[in-house]
Amino acid sequence: MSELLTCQNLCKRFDSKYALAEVTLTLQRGQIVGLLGPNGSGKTTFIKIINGLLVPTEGSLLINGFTPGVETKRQIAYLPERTYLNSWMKVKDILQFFATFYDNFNMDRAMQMLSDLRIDVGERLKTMSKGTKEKVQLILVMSRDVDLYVLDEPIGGVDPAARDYILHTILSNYNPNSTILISTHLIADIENVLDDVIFLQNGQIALHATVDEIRSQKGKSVDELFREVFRC
Amino acid sequence: MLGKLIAFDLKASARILFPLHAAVLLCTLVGRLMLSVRITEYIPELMLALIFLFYFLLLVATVVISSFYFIYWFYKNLFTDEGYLMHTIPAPSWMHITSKTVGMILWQVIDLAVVVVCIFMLLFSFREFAEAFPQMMKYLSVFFTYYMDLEAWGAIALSVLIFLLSIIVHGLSAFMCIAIGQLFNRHRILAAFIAYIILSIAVSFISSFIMIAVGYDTMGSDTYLRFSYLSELFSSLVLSVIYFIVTNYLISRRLNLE
Repeated sequence: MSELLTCQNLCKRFDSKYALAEVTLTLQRGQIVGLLGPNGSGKTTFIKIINGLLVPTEGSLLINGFTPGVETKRQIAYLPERTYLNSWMKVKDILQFFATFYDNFNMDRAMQMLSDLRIDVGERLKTMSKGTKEKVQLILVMSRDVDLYVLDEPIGGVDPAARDYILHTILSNYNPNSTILISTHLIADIENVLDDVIFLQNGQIALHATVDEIRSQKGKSVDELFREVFRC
Repeated sequence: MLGKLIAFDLKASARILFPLHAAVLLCTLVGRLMLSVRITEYIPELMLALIFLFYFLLLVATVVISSFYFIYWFYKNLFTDEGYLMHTIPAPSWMHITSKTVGMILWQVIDLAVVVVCIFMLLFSFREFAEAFPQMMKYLSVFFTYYMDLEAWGAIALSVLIFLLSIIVHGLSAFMCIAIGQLFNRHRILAAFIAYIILSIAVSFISSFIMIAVGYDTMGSDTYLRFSYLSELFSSLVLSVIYFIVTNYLISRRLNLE
């Protein structure tokens, strides 16, 4: 195993409030990592910094040895927590967009997943339900061959059956050298696929451990531990 | 990558701008036909006035939409939800700005060409135009050689250059103001407008200061014309470069998507 992502004393301040404070961590290759925490704990801020959508106030972040930029964007597949698809496009237009701008986009895999979920490539994104749009977006992201997949709330808006398919898809398409960082509230649903978990609380790391450590040392599931740590 | 971005921006903008310009050309063609066969003599005046009003509004709308489309597109495509897609493709920010600028220039030129063609089509029949063209060139040439010691084509080239630069400088100033507006966590569009107003005041203040400093009011009319042409050219170039650099800095180092 080798390091894929490292950050040192990463801070992000909005006005006077710290959204992230002194986050120092390392992600290894070949892992599925859960980024867990309540609303406003800094998960999305952290993810946006990884994707170069926000610039950190202090500290450093390196992916494959590069600071976020053109080189890292090529090697990260990012699923934001919102719909970023142009509503006037058809599914085939957005497929073409991905094929044009990402040289590691696998069109065959995308077509296969779309047909498995019975999504018509001729359909306009405008007429799709929110859940279907999320599925399309996830398919686009998982059809790229990259080092790091960053999924922000990937299963929040889809039904449980599609959720199973999506988790299965994530696992079956996942290259052993790649790392998947998943942020979610639905811990119980994904707990079984995670190798590592990071608990974020008020912009700081409350815990970074492997799922096995949590189970053997604390004698609890990740879900139980989460409810305990973040009890309101 | 830049070519791909330009192709994408042109395709996206053509969805709105192509049908609009096609409609204007079609209406003009119909109008020319109506004038040629003198059908207008049989149409009631009120009806004719309404047709003309509709045509005029279509023309104005086309010009207005063409000039603002890319400013809107720059904001929507880069700073709303779509920005999450655009800023995560492996393209540096200067390419995004360049691509939008190229699309804007292209459509403004097409727009101007369409409007000129339409006006000429309505004013003259094709035969009349062909007869009048050499005469027009002669007048232009007399005008420009009198003032600038340049042949007409040289002067036209200079005017075209200034026209293109003015599109660029206006577009880039709007782009920069949008990039400033997005720094704010709330009221981003309002902030962009305020930035634009402040910028306009600052630029006109500085330019009048420079004008007074070089003593424009003591110049003769031909010196003044030459001076205003050159200063327009020079200031557009300098401002464009500044706006581009600032916008690029703001997007690459201060991006703040909602």
